Amino acid sequence: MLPQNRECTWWPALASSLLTAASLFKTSSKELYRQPLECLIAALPLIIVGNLAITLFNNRNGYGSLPLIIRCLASGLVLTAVIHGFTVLLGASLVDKFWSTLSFSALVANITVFSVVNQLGITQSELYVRVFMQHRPSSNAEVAAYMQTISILIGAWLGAIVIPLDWERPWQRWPVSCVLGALLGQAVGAVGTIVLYLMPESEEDKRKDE
Amino acid sequence: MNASYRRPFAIFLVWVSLAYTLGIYLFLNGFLLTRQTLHVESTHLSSPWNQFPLASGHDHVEKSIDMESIAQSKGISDIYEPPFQRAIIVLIDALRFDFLPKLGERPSDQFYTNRLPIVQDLLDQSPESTVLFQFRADPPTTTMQRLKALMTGSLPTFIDAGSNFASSDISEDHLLRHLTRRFKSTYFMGDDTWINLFSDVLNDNSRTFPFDSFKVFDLDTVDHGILGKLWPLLDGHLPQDQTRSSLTDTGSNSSQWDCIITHFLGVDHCGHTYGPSHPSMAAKLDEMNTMLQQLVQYVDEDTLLILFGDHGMSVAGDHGGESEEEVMSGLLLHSKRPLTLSRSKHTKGDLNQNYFQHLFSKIHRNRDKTLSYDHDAITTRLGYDATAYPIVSQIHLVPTLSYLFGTPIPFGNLGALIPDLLYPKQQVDDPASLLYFIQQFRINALQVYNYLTMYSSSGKHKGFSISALDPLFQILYAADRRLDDLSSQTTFKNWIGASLLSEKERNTLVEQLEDILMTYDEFLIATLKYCMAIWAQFDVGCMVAGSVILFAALLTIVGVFIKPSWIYTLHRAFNHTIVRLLTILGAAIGLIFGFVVAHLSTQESGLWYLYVARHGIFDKMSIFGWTATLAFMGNIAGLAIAVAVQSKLTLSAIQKCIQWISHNPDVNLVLITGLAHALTLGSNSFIVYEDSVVRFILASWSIYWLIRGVATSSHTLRSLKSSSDLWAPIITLLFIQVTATTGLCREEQQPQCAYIHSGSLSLMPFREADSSTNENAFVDKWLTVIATTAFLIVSIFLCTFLPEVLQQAWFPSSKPNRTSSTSYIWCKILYGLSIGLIMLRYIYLILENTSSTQYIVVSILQSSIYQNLSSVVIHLNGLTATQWLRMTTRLFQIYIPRLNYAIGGLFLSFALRKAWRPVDLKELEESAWIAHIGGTIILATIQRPIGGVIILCWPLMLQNLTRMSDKSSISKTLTARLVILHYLGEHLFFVTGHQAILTAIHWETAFIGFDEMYMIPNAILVSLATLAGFIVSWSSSFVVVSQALGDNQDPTLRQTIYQASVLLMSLFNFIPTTLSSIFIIVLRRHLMTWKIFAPRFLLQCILFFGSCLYLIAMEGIIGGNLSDVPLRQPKRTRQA
Repeated sequence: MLPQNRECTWWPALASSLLTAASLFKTSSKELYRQPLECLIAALPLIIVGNLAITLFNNRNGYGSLPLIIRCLASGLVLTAVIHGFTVLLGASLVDKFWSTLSFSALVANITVFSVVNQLGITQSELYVRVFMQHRPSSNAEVAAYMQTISILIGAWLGAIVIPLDWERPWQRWPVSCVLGALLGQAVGAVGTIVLYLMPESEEDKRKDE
Repeated sequence: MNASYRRPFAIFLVWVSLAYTLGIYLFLNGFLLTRQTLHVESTHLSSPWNQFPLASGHDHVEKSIDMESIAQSKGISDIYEPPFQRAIIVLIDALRFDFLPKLGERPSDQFYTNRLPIVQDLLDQSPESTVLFQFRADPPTTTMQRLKALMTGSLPTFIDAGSNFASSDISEDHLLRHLTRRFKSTYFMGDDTWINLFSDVLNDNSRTFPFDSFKVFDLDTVDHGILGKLWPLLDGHLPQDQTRSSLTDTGSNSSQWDCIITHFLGVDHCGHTYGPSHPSMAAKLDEMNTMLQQLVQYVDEDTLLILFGDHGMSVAGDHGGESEEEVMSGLLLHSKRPLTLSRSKHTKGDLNQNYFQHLFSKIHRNRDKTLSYDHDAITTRLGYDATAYPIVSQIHLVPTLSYLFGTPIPFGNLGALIPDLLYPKQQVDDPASLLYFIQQFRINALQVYNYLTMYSSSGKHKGFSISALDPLFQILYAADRRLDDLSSQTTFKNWIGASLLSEKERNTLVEQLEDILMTYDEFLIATLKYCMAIWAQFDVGCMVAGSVILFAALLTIVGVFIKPSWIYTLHRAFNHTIVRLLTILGAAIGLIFGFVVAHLSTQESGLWYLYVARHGIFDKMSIFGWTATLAFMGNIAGLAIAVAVQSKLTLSAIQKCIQWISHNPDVNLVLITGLAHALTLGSNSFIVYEDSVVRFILASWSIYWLIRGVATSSHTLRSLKSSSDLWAPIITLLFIQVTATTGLCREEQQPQCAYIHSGSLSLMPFREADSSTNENAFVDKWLTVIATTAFLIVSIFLCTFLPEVLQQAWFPSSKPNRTSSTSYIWCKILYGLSIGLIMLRYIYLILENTSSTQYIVVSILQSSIYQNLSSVVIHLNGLTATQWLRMTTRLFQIYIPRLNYAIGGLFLSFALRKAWRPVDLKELEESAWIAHIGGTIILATIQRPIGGVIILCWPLMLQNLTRMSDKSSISKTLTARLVILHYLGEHLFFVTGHQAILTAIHWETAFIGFDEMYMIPNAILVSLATLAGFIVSWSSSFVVVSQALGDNQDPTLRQTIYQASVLLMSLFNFIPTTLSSIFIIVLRRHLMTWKIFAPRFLLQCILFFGSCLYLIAMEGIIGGNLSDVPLRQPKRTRQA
């Protein structure tokens, strides 16, 4: 069993968040509004490669590089499919704008996967089950991972609220508002992680750890 | 102990319901508009130049010139000469404008365009004696309101729209009264709404032939009935009623007619039943065309034929709203004499027809601008060039007909003359024609002026005070003054003096006269616009009072919902003396205040008038309103004091409460969801897309349910795969998305909206596909058929699972030995039978959709099998296709639904008997299931096919919602499931083809199972069909709640669960009701108030009353038993 690092790290979250923003707005903010699909497809490789670099550099529990990359990509793929499914179930069209939905799901899935891997590394499934299925994160690193995931997903979810309004703004079109929501969510998660990092561990927590 | 245990909650529910009812009553009192009707009859003016020139302040300006003599000297008569001697009024209900003119060939709407070629023929053959207008109705576009407007020339307000079922007598002055006075023998045939509205004049049974207007399935009875009376009458041999005394007939030709009014309903019924794009519509319009062709032959020089529709129809064939499709109808006038100057062949004077054409279009342009008619929107929506024909408002017909028939204009008319139809008798020159026009417009203006003065003096409405109307009157004064000024000019005098004018002088004179004419018209149209706005004036005082009460009641419920133990605090407070004291005091003060205010608002001075009454605030508050409001205020103040005294409300108590809330994520989420959904009612886009909003909330909560379910039961990844904790939410999500493909599109959702609706199902390829030349024609042609067949197969397949649901209903606790009980087997048979019947009915409905039924029946009749059969069964022989058709229609529309009502009723009564004295909560759950099944049978019977199948299959969904992997998740996920249930109800509302608009009401439901009109059952059926989704959701909550209760033995916990569930279900209706009322106050001047916000609020009010019924049922059945059951329960637990 690989050693578990209980402390959260702050910089990968921040770096990843900046990276997402940079890849989406690399030229100007207009591009995302004008051609959301093309912009997303162009940004995705950048985000994946950049995040992989961050993850490799951050490699928390000394996992082998190649398996780490493969695992990240594989879980990104699986999560993409799951998120795509739920997006459709939440009301996105199945046929119309299929590729937009898919690229949006890929974006959300990948930033989620990397923020989790950056905090928890690759460990046994029980830990993931405990943190994400039973909602019982205990250590700071787990709380950070949980917080980031939740804020990305909720951000993307909240982004849908503006779609029906008749303001006729470019950012109301699917999936721009949701991408922006996910982006904001990631930023919020990163800030939360920094706060968590700076907060001193309470006596109670220490006792629990022992 | 038990009685006191239960009573607090029941009392609380009663209190809340009463408070809400009072709040809604006050609010609607201020919100729904009412208009005063004046019982004054108009008479002929002694002269068109009465009181000339009008001026403000009654200081009579010295009459500089006698206009009357001028007019006479120029040979201008003050009336239309000679007035028509006979009138044929043909009203074709729902005659949309694009049915009338010749339009380019478009295959998509071949069923209704170019079906009335007679119109174009008349326009071509006799252009000067035929005029066609676009006839614009004011919303609401319901027949009764339109008839009122068409005859009185006034603007019926929204409140009248609700009384379409019980249309009552018109008390205002109306055109028909004047017409019947002028025409001795007026005949009426058609829609019986006329008889109800104009019973004062249409009371001669031998001359009126009313027909029932509500049988929308019946396309022909009314029309054929009319034709059966019309032709004999026109040909002069209508059999006279023998009972009439011979004295009145005096031996003369008794079938002489002066005025015939016909109201055809077939087109409207066809629209309601099949929509405009349907072969039946083509047949109906062809029939109308033949009728018109024949009718035109009876039109001579002295007869005026008036053909018009009272409103249009939407794309789906319904009406009631204010979309362009619904308001645009057509008006055609035809006679053998020339009717209009603008196409006159004989040039009159020296102005040619071009001049008049130009003048009329200028007047129409001005009117369109003032009343903001959007030509472009009409052109895009209806597909014809809207600029090609002038648009006239429906009420303009009233003064125009008065003019043409030489009757006084009805007293309350607000319409303006249609300039195109003004026609001076003699050959006069152009200034004289213009003066004639001015004269007619002044008669019209004077009538409107008199009406306004009378209205302002008789009512206390502040918008009609003389000072408020003054800006309008100034326009009229200006017009009179300018005419007066002009008459003293030399050019004018020269013209009067019949001296020759130079070209330039003449042109200036014409220009000046034209200007004056436009000013009169401006007065008329500005008045119309002003009145439209003023009758949309609300009583803000009443609305605010209502909202405050709603808000106070809501706060109390939310308090009890957050902290269930407050119910006891409240209960103790109710018994406190101070509450009673303050309530009585409040009522007394309110009573006195009411009388004082009633007295104060009669005077036009004082502080009350200055600050309150002048702005129309508390205008509509009655003495009862004041008493009830202040009593409620006293009551709530007393409660607040009593609660504060008792519970020693301190800061730490509040802190504790906040802490408690933060530890209950479910409570928070419920409140946030309710609030968020209610907040969306403040935005028109969210209301328009509410179906998607509801779906989003629903899917989000299903995901929350999934997360909760997975988190609470200690699952591993492996055990999860087969757990219903994972699959039940996912099935729910799939159900939502699959059903989301059907529904009804609001017109605001166009063109993005692509719902499959029941009307698009068909088992016969559409005819229009034949003409299309593309390669996929075959696929296109058969696509709907394939889709429909697939739909039917899937639904029949689903239905085969349904009887299994009964097993769950019978023994949730799975005691298989009861499977063989006879009652179970009987119920299963009955259930299966009614499912089969419902499916058969749907197949029939789909067949009828394409009118292929006729085809099938005929082909069966021709087939050899039938020939053989009929020879065996003797009495079947000799039946014609029509008879067969009528028999099948009766079978599916009347007998099968009746049978299903009976089966559903049987289930319901069985359930009720079981619930009466339940042994334990398990039995209660069983009876809830049985009642639910009975309910779905009845509700599915009255739905359209797609919605009906969804309702019918709902028990499967409910099974999914109540199937839990272990007991712990039953109560853990209860909140999530109840929230989902509520929103599923709303989702089902949309899925079954409803929207929060008047147009979307399924009126045809009223006659499922009934062949006659019975007011109350029909109204019940329509409301059941509309609220089917909510009813299903409410009744499902019985099942869910009783299941959750059955799994808890602790009586206190049970009470808490029960109370929380009931409050949760009602909060989701109470929060939106309160907030929506506040939004309406804020947005009352919004452009979309009547179109979007008001119908949504009315739906919310209906839902509130529905949820009150739900509360009563819940409290009566479960709440009542809850306090009884523990009496017997402890023994059982001890045994266990």
